[in-house]
Amino acid sequence: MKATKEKSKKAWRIMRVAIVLMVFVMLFGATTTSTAHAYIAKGNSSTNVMIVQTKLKYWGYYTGAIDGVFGAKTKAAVKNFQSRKGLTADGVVGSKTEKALGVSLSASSYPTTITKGETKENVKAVQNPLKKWGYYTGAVDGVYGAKTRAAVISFQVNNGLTVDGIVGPSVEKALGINLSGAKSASAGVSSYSNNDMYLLAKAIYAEARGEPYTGQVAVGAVILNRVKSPKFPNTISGVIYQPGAFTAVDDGQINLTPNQTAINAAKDAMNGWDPTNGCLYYYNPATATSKWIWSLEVTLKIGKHSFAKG
Amino acid sequence: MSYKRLTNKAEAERSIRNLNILVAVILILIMAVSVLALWLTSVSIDRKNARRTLENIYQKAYFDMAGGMNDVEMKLSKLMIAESKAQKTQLATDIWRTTSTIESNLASLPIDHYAVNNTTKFINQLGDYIYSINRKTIAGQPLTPEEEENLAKLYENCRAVNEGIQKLTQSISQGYKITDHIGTPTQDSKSNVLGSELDTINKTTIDYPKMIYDGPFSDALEDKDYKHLKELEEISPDEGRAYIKKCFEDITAVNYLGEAGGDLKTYEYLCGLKNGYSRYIQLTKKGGLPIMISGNTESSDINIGESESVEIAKEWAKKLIDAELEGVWISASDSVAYINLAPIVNDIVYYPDLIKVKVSLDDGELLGWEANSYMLNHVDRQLPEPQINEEDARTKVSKKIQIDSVRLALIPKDWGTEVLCYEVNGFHNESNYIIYVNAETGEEENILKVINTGNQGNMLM
Repeated sequence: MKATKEKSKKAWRIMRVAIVLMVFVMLFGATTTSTAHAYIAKGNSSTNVMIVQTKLKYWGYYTGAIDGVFGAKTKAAVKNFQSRKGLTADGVVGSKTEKALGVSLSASSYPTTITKGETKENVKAVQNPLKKWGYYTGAVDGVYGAKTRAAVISFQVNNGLTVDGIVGPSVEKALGINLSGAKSASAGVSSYSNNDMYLLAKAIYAEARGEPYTGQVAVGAVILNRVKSPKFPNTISGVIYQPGAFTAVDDGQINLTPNQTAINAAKDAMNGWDPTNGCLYYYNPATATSKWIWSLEVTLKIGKHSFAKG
Repeated sequence: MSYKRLTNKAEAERSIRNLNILVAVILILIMAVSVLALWLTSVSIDRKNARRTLENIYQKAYFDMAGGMNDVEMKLSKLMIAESKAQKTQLATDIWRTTSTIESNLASLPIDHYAVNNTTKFINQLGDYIYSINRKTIAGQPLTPEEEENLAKLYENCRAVNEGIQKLTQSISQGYKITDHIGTPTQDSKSNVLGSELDTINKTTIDYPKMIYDGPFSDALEDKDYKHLKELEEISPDEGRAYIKKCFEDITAVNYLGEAGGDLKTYEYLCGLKNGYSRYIQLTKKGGLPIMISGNTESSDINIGESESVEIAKEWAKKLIDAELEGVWISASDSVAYINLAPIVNDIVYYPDLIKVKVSLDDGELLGWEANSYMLNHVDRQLPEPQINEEDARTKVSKKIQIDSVRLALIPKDWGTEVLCYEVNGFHNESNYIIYVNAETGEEENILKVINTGNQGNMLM
């Protein structure tokens, strides 16, 4: 009996230690995430920060400059705003705070500046009224820089428009201007869709995520070269899912989520970058088991991969 | 006594407790075993179902492929004796459609891709060739003796391939399970009937001359002729290094990686930049011109406008290859802009000489450069005089299109030839279309649609 009691005591002690450890880990985990750089859940891009600053300034919580830098003043303003609105005052702009602020932040960066196209004429047409009404203080130079974006954001806040820093139809209307659509054009641009781009990025990530950037572009280019070659299927999915063609497809790594590097490499390949200059095959000499692949003449090596035309 | 009774009682209590524990353990064990058994049966049922489904998919792919082959052989023989335009076009379209079915089903069978690469090439070229002569038929042109001969050779090959496949079909039909042989060597005729038979067809049956014709799978595309480099002198790797150092001020180290072979000999360099990033640079051995620069950025900030990035791209073209080029297309996503540059001479855009430049919208740095088309195609050209004028071109496009602008442009075709066209830019239902009207014949050569994908920039289809 005594022994069992002793045992259960021991078990309790271990449990207690474990609980303390767990709590410690949780606390520690929590502190690390809050001390890391996630001030804005959707990303600390300067545009996101500018949008938050402008809105807080408009309501009087923030008195600093609209500079796109999330400093101590901005954090204090966010905290102040959160406690006023009955939110957890942690200084982090999450989805609730975003909603309370009435802004729409973007998880990715902001590639679009003017929906109808960022031509010099269009940018000037936007800068002119903004300057006239005092939102913009820079030169009317047709360049959509940080100052112009700040002015657009501020204009959106003051006019109760969706705050995203992009000159879309509503901003155009409120500014009283009429911009012209994109005019430049060309032939010879890839005819692949975005779905294909993502699938290609997945294949690149699965097959070559440890390779140098250009090696990743090269793997994407080989897949696209196969699509163009009569010897292989004629679609990107057909090439990637051809049985036995890629080991990372056979063993399921193709289902991993690609990182930004693989996505960038896929975009390069889609836009015509081909470091292999038309190769249809590649292999890793250290791991390749197929006798057949060794019979090919290698034209180029990038990272661990040897590339061959076939 | 009393002490002993007490012990007895304690002992009895203990044994009862032990018995209880034993019963509990046995019960738990029985439950665990039955749960495990149930789970295992369901797993094995799942596995069997999945395997059967997979087998069915493979069998369907095989029979679609074999049936298609039979169909193509028959229709090809009919096409060779067909006389009327309607019949010819009908048969050619059917063959072209069926070859695409054959190709995609053949590619989904679980055998090594190099056991079907020649067969796939044959199927693709067959469809492509039939499609190309069908265009002539539609235009009312008769076939040349050479084309008749090609057709006869393709038919011979088609018959031979089909013979092999129909023989294989007999084995497959007699209960051969494709899934039983996944993982066995393709070439082993004892363990993998499907793979080894297809491999034999792939290696021995197909035999026909190179096919040069107007189609994307034409053999003409295999031999690349870099016209722009033809007259230029070869350089040494060291001269290449000096050129790179001269062009890029912010490069800290230039590592020569070696020479790449193939159609085009290039020198490969990996360069370190002051900001810690690197650029992979390929220079042509002939002429020492940059044919490709590859680089990445992790930044997502945007500090410069798209129009400014076009100016940066043009400056690089001037600096790197001393060419006056104009921006003809831009697509920006995240903080990267891809800018297409082309020569515009006498208001004619030369699209075959396209150079693609990748510029960072964060700091305006040159991230990439792709000049393969330029090196292949850029020469002094004698262009034909347009046979129709701009006003004619406007009438050649659909009335639905609201025309915005028209200009002359030389465009490349899939198979390496160039056509002088009017580039008609217009709108329909708020969508932007670009239509190329042949400046000699007045025919529509191509229709592109501008797709505004927002985040991914503007792509052309």
